[in-house]
Amino acid sequence: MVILTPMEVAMVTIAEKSAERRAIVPPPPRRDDGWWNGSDDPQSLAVPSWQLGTWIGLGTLTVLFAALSSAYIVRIGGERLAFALPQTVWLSTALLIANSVALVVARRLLERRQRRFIRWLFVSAGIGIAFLAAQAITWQIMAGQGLFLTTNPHSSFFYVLTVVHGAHVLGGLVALGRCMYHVRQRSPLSRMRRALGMTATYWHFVDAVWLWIVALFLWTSL
Amino acid sequence: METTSIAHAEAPVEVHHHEPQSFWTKYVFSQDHKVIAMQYMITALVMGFIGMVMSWIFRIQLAWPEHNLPFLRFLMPTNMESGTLQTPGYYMLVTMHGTIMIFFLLTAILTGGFGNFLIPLQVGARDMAFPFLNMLSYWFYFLSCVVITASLFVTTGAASAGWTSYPPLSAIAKATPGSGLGQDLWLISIALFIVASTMGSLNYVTTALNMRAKGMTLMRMPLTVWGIIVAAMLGLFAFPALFAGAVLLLLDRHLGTSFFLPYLVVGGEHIVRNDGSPLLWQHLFWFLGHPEVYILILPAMGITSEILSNGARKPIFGYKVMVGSIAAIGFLSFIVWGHHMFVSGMNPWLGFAFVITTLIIAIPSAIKTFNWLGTLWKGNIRFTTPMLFAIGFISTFVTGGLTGLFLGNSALDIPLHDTYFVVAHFHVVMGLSSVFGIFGGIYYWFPKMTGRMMNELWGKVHFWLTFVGSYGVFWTMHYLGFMGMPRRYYSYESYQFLPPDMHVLQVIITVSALIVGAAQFIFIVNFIGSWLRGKKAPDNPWQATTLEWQAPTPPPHGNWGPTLPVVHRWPYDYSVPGASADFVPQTVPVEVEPTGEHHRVAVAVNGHAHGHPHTNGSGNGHHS
Repeated sequence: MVILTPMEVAMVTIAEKSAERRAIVPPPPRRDDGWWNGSDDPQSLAVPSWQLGTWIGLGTLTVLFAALSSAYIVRIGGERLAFALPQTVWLSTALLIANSVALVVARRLLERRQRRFIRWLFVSAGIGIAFLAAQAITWQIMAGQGLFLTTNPHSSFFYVLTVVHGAHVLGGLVALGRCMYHVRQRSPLSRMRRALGMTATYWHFVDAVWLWIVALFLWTSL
Repeated sequence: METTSIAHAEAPVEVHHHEPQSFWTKYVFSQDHKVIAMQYMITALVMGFIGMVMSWIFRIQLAWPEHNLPFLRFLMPTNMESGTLQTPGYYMLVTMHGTIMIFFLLTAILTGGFGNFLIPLQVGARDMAFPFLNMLSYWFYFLSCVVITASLFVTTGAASAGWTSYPPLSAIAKATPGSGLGQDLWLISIALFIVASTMGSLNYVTTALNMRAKGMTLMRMPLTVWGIIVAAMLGLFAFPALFAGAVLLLLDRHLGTSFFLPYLVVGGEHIVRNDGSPLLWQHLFWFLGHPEVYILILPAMGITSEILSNGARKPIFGYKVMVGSIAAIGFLSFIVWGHHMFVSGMNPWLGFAFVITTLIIAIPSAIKTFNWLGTLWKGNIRFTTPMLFAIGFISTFVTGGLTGLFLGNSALDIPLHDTYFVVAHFHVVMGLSSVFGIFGGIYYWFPKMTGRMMNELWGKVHFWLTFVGSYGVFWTMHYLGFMGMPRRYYSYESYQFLPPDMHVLQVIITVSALIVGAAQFIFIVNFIGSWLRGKKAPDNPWQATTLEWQAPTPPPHGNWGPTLPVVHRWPYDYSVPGASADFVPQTVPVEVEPTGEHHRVAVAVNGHAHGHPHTNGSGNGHHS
């Protein structure tokens, strides 16, 4: 399972090559929102609102994880990690990296207006579900070693951080579901782009948070 | 330019292009920012009323201990047996008063109410960037209000560990009756509130940054918008810390973890946990808690700046410095939280660092005060009700700000900590000042919101009773603080170090509080009465310059009719030399030629009949 990553990388390369060959790239459609947002030269930043909103929202989530992480650091006060991280953590890590790649591919395919991006949405969702399954196994391994939520501050924070993160993975699955809904509804390209753009940015963030969590526990086990 | 047009091409249209027709979509699950603003405002005022009634009950206990008030049994069935306020009931009321006032009144009305109403109107947008999220924000807020109100009626009573909910008091159900289900509901309600506030703030910031009308550069935004969006950013980046704290505290309470709980003996029973850190909660709480007070004061500062400039008929003094000060206060508010914890046993050097950062906040605050006075200086002041409240804001902000300098200094804070001096300080600087900002804002924008004027005479009566009465309450409290009277005590009768005649001050405070409370009924009657049958408001009753006054009254769905406004100048062009009127709206072009043509053009651009008094001439119309 760990070899998924290079496999995915290979798939990206293939997908990109073939996309370049076959893509017909029309100019991006100019969507006139007319009456509603109709200022022809609005004073706005150089990013669309949905992107700005997504980034600000991710800033908020960053503070949430920063608060939990710093609470962990303060709480253990320099103590070493009291248990070995289960090896399944690496499987989870590989899965989430692969997931980010899948979403990059999906986004590029959508930019080239190739319907095959849909299949990458399913790949991403599949990886997300596999990640949650891997997390469940991790928790079971820990429980098998007698490490529960209340055992010690390390295990407490490990469960809290991974469960809160897992909740955000669930949120990412909902976002992917929303993209699929737009596909089903044959939503206009701009809307599709926006949905997938938000979803991909969000997932990259969730994946980065996972890397941070792993790094945090590796650091405390030094 | 290219990026901008692409951005625009992708701009969201998650909005109804047609006005919602049914009752439900128009008034209940509305996505119109003005309706959501009114929903926020009215819900918050109702919550504030509940919070105020609570303060009367515990103030009566403090002035006339264990006085029998039989009618209160109906209000509080659990803690008022035989009509006397019991100790747990007292703690519950104090806790809920603080929580309700800070979160459910002040935060909600300033960002949810004024933010929603003013941001799109003042930057020239048709609505918020994410209207659906905006609607969701209100309903999460509503839900959090329902949960916190419901917690008053559970058998063990509502949370009573103080609005700061320090563990272990808040972590062990046996600690006080209110630490049972009431505390759980408190935490859940706060978590819901944080979700609501985050969704709202996301909208306010995005809308102000990205949906401004043509010509509305950042440095042409009214200070209200600046105050609100910086407050919104504080909320976005501070609230998650409390959210994390609430999650951990819930786990400590129910799943046996020990994030905050140390080894304890409660009532002879050993509570064996890993040695958790109660201080950890304090850090997480105050990482929100301190920015929170600026979430309350920055929008009120913005509102005050707006009203002062309008009422003094002068441009705001030092606009850029005002914006800079708002940003500086916002930034500094994140690195001062430790000044709430000087007595927690922190390293004195760390405390020293927090003293320094805290005192630095005095600089931008003083700059702002100086600029407000500079705005008033030699102004042609109109003492309208909103103006009185704005001037009242300066008064309370200075009074409370100065005591902040006392308390920010750890050497003085340690003896004064948890005395009535602290209670007086934060009520004046954060409570009263924001409330004055809110009242000023309501009187000022009521005509635009409802299409009717509020009664001026009763407005002034309301102001003077509130102003004098509030000082009667809180000025007096400072003396109690100097005497060493601790806060959060049910009864002081058995404490020898307090002189018996301090009781006179307690009575003065309570009587003043009841007078202030009575004055709020004048406001309520004025608010409802004026809405129903007040004098019809013209489009621009205060002869103001900002964009919202160029919209029809009350603004329709989409705010601006067929064409969006175009902005040509900054928001404070009052008493411009050479202009015929003493104000020039932001939509009037700067180049003016004396042809008399502009008036017609302006009317066409703004799409309503009154237009605005033109400057000494007119534009050549190229801006249309």
